[in-house]
Amino acid sequence: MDYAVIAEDIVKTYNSVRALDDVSLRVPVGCVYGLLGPNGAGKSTLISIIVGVSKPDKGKVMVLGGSPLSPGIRARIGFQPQEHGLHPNLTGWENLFFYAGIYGVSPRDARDRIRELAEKLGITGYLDKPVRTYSGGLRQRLSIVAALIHDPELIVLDEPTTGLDPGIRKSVWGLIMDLRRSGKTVILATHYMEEADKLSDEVAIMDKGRIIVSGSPEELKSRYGPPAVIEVVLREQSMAEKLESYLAGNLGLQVNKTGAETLRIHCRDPDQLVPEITSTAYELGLSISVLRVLKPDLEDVFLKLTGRRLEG
Amino acid sequence: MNWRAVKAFIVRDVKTMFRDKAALFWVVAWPIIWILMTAYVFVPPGAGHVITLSVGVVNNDHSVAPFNGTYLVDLMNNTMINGKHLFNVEMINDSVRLKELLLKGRLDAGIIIPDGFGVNATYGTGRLIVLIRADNPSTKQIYEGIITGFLQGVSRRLSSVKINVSLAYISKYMPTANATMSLDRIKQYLIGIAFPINASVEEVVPESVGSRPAIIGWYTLGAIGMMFLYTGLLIGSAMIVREKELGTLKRLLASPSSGPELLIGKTLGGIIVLVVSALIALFVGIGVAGARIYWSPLNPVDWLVPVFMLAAAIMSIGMGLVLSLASRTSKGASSLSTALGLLFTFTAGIWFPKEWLPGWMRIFAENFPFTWAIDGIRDIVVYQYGLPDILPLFVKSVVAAIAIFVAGATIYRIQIRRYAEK
Repeated sequence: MDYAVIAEDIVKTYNSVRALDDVSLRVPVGCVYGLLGPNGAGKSTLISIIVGVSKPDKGKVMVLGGSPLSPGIRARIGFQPQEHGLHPNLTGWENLFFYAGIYGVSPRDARDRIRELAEKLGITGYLDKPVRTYSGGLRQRLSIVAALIHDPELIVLDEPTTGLDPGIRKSVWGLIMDLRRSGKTVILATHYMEEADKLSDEVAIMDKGRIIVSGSPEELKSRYGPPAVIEVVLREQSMAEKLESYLAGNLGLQVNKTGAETLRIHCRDPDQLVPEITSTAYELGLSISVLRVLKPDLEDVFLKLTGRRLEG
Repeated sequence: MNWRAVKAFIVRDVKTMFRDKAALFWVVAWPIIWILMTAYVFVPPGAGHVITLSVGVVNNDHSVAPFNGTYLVDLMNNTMINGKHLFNVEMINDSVRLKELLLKGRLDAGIIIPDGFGVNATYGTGRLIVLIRADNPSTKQIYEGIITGFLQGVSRRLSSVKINVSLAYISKYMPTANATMSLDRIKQYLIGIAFPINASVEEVVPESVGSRPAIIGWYTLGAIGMMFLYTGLLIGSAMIVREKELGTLKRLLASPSSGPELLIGKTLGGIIVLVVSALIALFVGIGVAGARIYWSPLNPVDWLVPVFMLAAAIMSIGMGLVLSLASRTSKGASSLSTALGLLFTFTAGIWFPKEWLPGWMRIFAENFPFTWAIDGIRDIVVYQYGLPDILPLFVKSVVAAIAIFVAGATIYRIQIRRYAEK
């Protein structure tokens, strides 16, 4: 198998804090590789090393068959950092032409490419306006276009949908799927488990500077997730707290509070547990708004492995 | 080297610089303000005319003699140069009041004429007390020079009169004198006693600074130097920190153009901004303020002027890159550049002529490389230096520009590495 990225035993320390601790990963060519983890897990540090911004203290990184520090390799990588990296006093066109120049793309090629990408992300009508007038979502999409302007082989997206509303998020997802279909490799750092779950062929879950597990989302869910998950939404927060303490204390269940009134209960046999939860709630005088049985997702995998929630 | 990337940096930086209101103020408006202030405040249209001194006179002289205090005051009132009175005389009753007016700054100088001055001056030596307002060392010298010059002139005239009177007496009462020495010879001898040295003073002013337009031209170059200095410092010191704040630095560091292209592109962008600003300043200086600058495309030495300007721009950007070590934010970089830029402008002979500076400051000005470049420009367009005269300064400026920029580029690399590893 060909790999777009091979990282072995990467260690990176900042001011005596280990941001990356013996991280190894292999990203196959042509796949969407999700880096999933909470803020501070080390995703951005790992990305900085992959795109050649910083060097590891220890370990080896090969990107597209070479060192990411070489300009020739960098020219084949498209990078969208968390900061948009756009000049507020320039228009969308001007910002994109700037990045086209940086990557050595001719103005004619850049114009065609910008039109195509802007169309896909729905920002064509805004390109003549100064970026300072853009909303956060518009800037984010323009930033993604800037990362793709030179038609790179490897695309590294750091939290590309943070702050986007659901409709726009879907258009970004569509673009990522298109990239995969056209044979590009995408590394997608995100803390949205749904995004990683839906888009990734492979996922590495990171926590505290380490990759704790990696594999396809299905594989991870079946191996590390619970057989089933029951989600209970109660009328009030105090009721949720009461039910949580009862289920965890008396029945020994793994109960996670995922919202003020929402509990997520990992279980083996939901058919047996659902009547028990409803009768307990009745006895305690708690009013349930919603009760449903769900398949486990990557959030549950993360919960299972770390005891903490992924999304804050 | 990816020249398309270099061009991208130049285009972006020039566009953004001229779209930023604060930058526009410092790069364009501020030098224009200085040039116009120079033209209409520091070198006003009347500059170069005779200075009229306000002089208070306390005349205590009651002598009945051909020359006395009243005669001196009349002379003062009637002395004119180029149709303008040299003194505006105010008669004061007593010396205490005279000193009081001098201390309050209402008079430039004062003369106390003691009683018996006329008799003493006619038959011997008349004593005068001259008071000069000395709150400003420069004007003090000017006032003192005018008063003493006037009094020397009066003494000269008085001496001539006294010599002629003496000769009349000699020919009348000492006829034997004619036998051994002619009256002309005696006159020459007496004149020699009165004025042993007869110095003639001739003003030698370079044609190019001999007039108001030329002086404004000198200061227009100073304004360009000032602008080059703090704008260059700002461009250099904010080069990395500004990209960092915009969030573009990480993206650029991940691009194939993170090395020399970034430095060269941004430096060339800065130089273009400076050149455009210099052209605007020259346009305002020449077109609006009436500055005269001696530059001819037909004179090969004059073509060293753009090279000196380039050296000045590179030096200031290089110094700015060194300053970037102390700049954590673009606001900080801006404040630091403006403060140091203005400080150096006024202490390194860029705005004020070096001759006006105190001794220790003059040593700094003589050894400040940026001043070499500005001096080089002035030496060519003001003092019309030839190639042999300008060559040493030219070599010094170019070598200094390269050395400073190399130092700045080294700092830049360190800063980039530091940011990447943060």
